[in-house]
Amino acid sequence: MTTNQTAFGAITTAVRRWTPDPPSPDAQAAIEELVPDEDLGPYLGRFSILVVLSASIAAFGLLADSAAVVIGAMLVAPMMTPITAAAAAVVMAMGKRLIRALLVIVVGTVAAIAVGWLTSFVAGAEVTAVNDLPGEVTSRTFPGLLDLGVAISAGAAAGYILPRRSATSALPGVGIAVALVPPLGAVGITLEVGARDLAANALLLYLTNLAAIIFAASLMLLFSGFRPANRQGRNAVTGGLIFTLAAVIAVAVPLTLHTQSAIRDVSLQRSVSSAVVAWDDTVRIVEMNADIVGGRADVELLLSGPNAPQPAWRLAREIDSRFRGAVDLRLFYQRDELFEVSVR
Amino acid sequence: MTIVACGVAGGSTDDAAPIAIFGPYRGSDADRWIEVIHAYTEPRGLEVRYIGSEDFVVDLQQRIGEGNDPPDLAVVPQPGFVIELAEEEAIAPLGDDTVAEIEANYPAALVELIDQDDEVFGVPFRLTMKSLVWYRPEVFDNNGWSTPETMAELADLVDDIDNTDDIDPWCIGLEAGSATGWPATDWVEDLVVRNLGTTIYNRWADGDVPFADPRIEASFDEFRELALDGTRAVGGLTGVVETAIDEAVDPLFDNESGCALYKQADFAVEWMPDGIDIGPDGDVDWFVMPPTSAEEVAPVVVGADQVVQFTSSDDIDGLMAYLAGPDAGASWAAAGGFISPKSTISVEVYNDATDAELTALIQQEPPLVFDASDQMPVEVGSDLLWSEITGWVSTPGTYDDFAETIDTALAAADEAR
Repeated sequence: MTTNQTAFGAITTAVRRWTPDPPSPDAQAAIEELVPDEDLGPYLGRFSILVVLSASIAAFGLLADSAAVVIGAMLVAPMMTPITAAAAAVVMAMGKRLIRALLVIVVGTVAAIAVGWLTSFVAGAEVTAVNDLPGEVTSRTFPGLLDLGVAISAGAAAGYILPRRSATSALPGVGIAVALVPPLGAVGITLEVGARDLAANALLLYLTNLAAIIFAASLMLLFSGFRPANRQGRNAVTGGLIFTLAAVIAVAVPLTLHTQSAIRDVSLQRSVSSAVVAWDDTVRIVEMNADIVGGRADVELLLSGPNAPQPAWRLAREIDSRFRGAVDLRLFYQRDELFEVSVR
Repeated sequence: MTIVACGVAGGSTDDAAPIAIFGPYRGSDADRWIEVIHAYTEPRGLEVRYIGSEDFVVDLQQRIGEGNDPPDLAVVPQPGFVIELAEEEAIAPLGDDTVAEIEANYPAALVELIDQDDEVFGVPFRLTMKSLVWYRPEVFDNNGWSTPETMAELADLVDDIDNTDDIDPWCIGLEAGSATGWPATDWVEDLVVRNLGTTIYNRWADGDVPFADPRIEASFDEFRELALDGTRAVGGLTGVVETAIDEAVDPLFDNESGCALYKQADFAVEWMPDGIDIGPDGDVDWFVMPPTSAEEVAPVVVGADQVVQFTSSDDIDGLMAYLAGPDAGASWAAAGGFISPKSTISVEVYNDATDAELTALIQQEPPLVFDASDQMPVEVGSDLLWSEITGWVSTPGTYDDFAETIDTALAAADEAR
């Protein structure tokens, strides 16, 4: 080891020195069968049909707000195969195989988004605006660091299971844990209703899963003894791993910001709720939109109460004393009105 | 349903009571304002809390009254409200240091305006210029019209426009919720100060010359003849009364302009289409409503937001003196959408060309008067007068009743003090 080696290089060197038994021919074959080396056509045909079917199931399940159907779609989805093939190609420094696998992934990604869009266009008559989006869709538009943790664990599991044919019964669990097709369906559906922000977030969730699985599965395959044949290949492995790690970090940055902003928004919403009670404990919150935009609390409230409203500036001050920062408040106030009528 | 909007700005880090400032600025105005305040307080380690409310007048009255929770400082746009606060002894005259800064940094005409029997209660901070008439140079060129030099020329121009097909002379809209009617008061004020001069105008604003005075009535008549009768304004009287203030200017910018003239204060720019170019070669330009004769300098009706103080301490007195000082407000002037009344903030500081031109105009020291309705007791000038003048606009021939209602209310308000 030379002194100017990077920490990452040091780790891969150490891993290389710790040499587990090379994989059995059966394990090797299990990996090589993932995406065929030649005659990609028939494979791509089967793959595309499964993507379209699973994406339709996912899109219908998302629109119907049915978690069970969406899980069904995860089990039909074939995306894990090319993704783990890509991980294996990284570890074994097989450039062509990597490109083929990535190509298949791109085809699947585009097809799944298109199916989501089309399904929403044709069948989503009730879903025409952001506010109509079912919970199954919106829950996929706010990825956080937890999703990254899930994807890394599941990617490692995939890397462990794939070379071991005896363990493949566990593979559907991996598919469910990282759910690749439903986020793509959510991208299509949100695009169809014109919610680009939400679509970008759902895509981020998918990219998180993609990058994390390739990275974690690569490491796991490396530990399972998969190696390139020659020394040049070993350098390529380091490069490949660095690249996939960089991809993981690239998605982790927006995820971290997302997670932080989600935590801050929740804490702001708590502050607003308690400020409303302190302001006037006879009012109810009918609707609340509170988020932090550029360091300031942007709060829109619809309150309803039996009495005339207390001065709004006092509510702003109550929020400020809890949130401690700039606040912009828009308050809509409805006076509860009671009408009693008798007819004899 | 009540809609209110509030903003809070500042940065409190401990539980020591921060300096509490109350005012009407919200959103980006609140950002600019707190920036001005922070320039003084942050280097000194002082904590500040500014709250800006849309219902500023009602809220402040409540705070100093039954709420018993007055702020330390407040920004008050209505001079009449400042006087009211002084008479209630809610605010004290400014300290000597602050007054000395005002005398050093403001045009004499403005110092005179805020002088109350040799006492000064507010630091004028932000100026609004009411007497502007907006027009589109291209439309004027195409029709061979030119901007008037006198009120008589304006009347001729209005006749010309009225006789031109498909375009009305004025865009006017009075609808503003509970404040409906205020643009009509600005109209009459500009006519009164031109017809009767600043002395009688100020006596009228103070309540010494009643609305029933025939000279005042003549200015109301002139408003009707110049801008309300027949097809003078887009949509006729119904259009005038029902058009929202922030939408009134829209026909000026229609492809085929619906109106040729729009009289409104400098802040009307925010109601105009985004990104318009203002100037003689631009999309829109302005002139000051002309004087009655070419030899006179046109008087300008202004609004001035004044900072008043409810409490006194070294920190608060120091902050007030800083606000009256030569530099406070320069950062806002540079950011745009702000005109400082100070003669010490040079025209070069302003990045916005219109702000700079308006500042240059003020620094030439034309006769200045405060918006008269802002000087009247708030329950009349910022409430009853608005609704009553709207009634008078929509129903011709009701001036006597209108004048009697307002004069009676003014007398009652005077009595109550």
